[in-house]
Amino acid sequence: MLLSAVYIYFYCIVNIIYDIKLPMQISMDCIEKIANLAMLALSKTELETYKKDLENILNYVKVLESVDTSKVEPIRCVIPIELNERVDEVHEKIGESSLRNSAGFENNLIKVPKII
Amino acid sequence: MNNINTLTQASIALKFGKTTSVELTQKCIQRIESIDENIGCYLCVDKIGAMKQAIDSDARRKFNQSLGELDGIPIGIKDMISCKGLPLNASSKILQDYLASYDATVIRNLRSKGAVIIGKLNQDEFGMGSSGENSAYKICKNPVNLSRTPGGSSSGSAAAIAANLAFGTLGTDTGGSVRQPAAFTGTVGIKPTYGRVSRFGVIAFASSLDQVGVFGHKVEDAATLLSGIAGYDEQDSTSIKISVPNYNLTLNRDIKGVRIGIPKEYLNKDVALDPEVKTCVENAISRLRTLGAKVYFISLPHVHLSVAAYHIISTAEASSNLARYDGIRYGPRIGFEGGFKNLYKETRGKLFGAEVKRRILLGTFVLSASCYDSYYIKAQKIRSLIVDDFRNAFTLVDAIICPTVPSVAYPLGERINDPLKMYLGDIFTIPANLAGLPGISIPGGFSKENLPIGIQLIGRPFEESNILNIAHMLEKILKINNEPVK
Repeated sequence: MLLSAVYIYFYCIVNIIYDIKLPMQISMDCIEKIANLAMLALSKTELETYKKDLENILNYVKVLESVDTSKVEPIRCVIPIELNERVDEVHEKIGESSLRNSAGFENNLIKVPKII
Repeated sequence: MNNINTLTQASIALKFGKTTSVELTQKCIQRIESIDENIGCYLCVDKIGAMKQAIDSDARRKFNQSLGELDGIPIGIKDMISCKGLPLNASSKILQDYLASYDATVIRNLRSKGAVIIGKLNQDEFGMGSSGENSAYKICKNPVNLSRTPGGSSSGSAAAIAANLAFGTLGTDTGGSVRQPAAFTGTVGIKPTYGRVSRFGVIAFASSLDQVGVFGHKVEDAATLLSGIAGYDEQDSTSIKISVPNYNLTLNRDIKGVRIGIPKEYLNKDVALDPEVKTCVENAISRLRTLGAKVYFISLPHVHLSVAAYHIISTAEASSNLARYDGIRYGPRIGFEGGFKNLYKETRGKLFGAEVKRRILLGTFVLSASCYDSYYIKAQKIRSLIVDDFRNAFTLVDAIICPTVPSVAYPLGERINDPLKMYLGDIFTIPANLAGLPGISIPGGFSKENLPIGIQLIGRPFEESNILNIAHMLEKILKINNEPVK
């Protein structure tokens, strides 16, 4: 992860100063960390495939760097309206029928792995 | 009965007693049983429930208590949308055996108008894909040519209309998932303005982009169905309190003097546009001119950045939205004995499909601390520029015309291992999602291989009636024969 952060930093600096397009690269360490953050158990083959896929996609999205956005505000909402807030009241209880969708449903509760 | 192919024909036949809802529903179920094995539109057909709804509808009609144009019409629903008591799987193994415990607002709206919910339709898993091949259950094929993709992610919704396995269907559109399959199957598909239709009860993919849309054979069918589902809903905080017109009443308006824009950026040489698609759009434009529309070239200077911005924003939102699938509350579990973290990781790693995992990884990457500004915030700024481009364009024109997809339906398997190529196929549909605008795809003609070509019209926010009307007038003058596949 740290190596990738350093690479991205270096990549941006080189790009800005020298206008050189370096190919985006992600280390195996980085893709493993991302998979861990995303709570995905992936095989080595999967990690290698996704590493290549992400590099391809990240190389493609570099096109965004061609536009100076230093004076642009990031978008908040596409349709400029106030968000609606409903009254915080229970309308329909779905309770047990919803709990039943868990594979761990037992006695109107959901069984989870041991914590303590 | 054999001449009833479209929603409007079915509605009129019911009104004048030429058929019954039971007859229409039976016809759909029989066709599904006889031909859907070869296509793969439906994941589940609610035979008993649909027949009961049809019997109730016929009873209402008998006592002059019809609930309107949709009463008794069999409608198919994309598997992203919650229908009480029916499976809700989003075509994913991670939601296998999940039964919806309530109706989405769009389903409640349809039921209140008497529509018959016939079953759940196949799709790309969680709406991620453009070919119908990312379903964890079965591939959906294009009824026009079974070796081709029907498009996606609302693959089953589009294919069911093309094969006459429902009279109307609901889909969802995050980056073109209604309009692109409509183009590939020779059907009509509309994505309304962001906020026009409630998303309550719809499985979230990318919440700032998702909208429910509809499919039909003809523009008037889509107009009827959209009128049936649209409207404010206090259970969706992004739903907007603006009255919904009856879209059918505003069809057939003269389009003389209506200003239509062609984005000049779409004619650039670096846009890989199939010459047959280009010719088809040019033909549609010349037909609009004969109807009195004024056609101008306009500029959307940042639109070429849409696909890149979209894949950062949508995957970021997806990685967050799909965090809820943890093996605790939904579906099957893997790795329970290894503790919480093992359960999460094994369940998600084994039960999400390849494309879903790819997008979760990309989303997690662009949201990670070292990348947040350079990717996510950058993409949100580009999105601001794209929204401004459209706002400026709509001061000059009333609607924008362009292809729906750069190509015709490609062979199944052609792009499944090349994600970037698959993503680039959405180049013309994604901008309307980024800007929250309504867009419609209608059949504009056929290629030499007899594959449908889609024409897209994009309108100002909440001006669905305008693009529906232009699309309807264009449909009438083009006289495209998109009769359902026999």
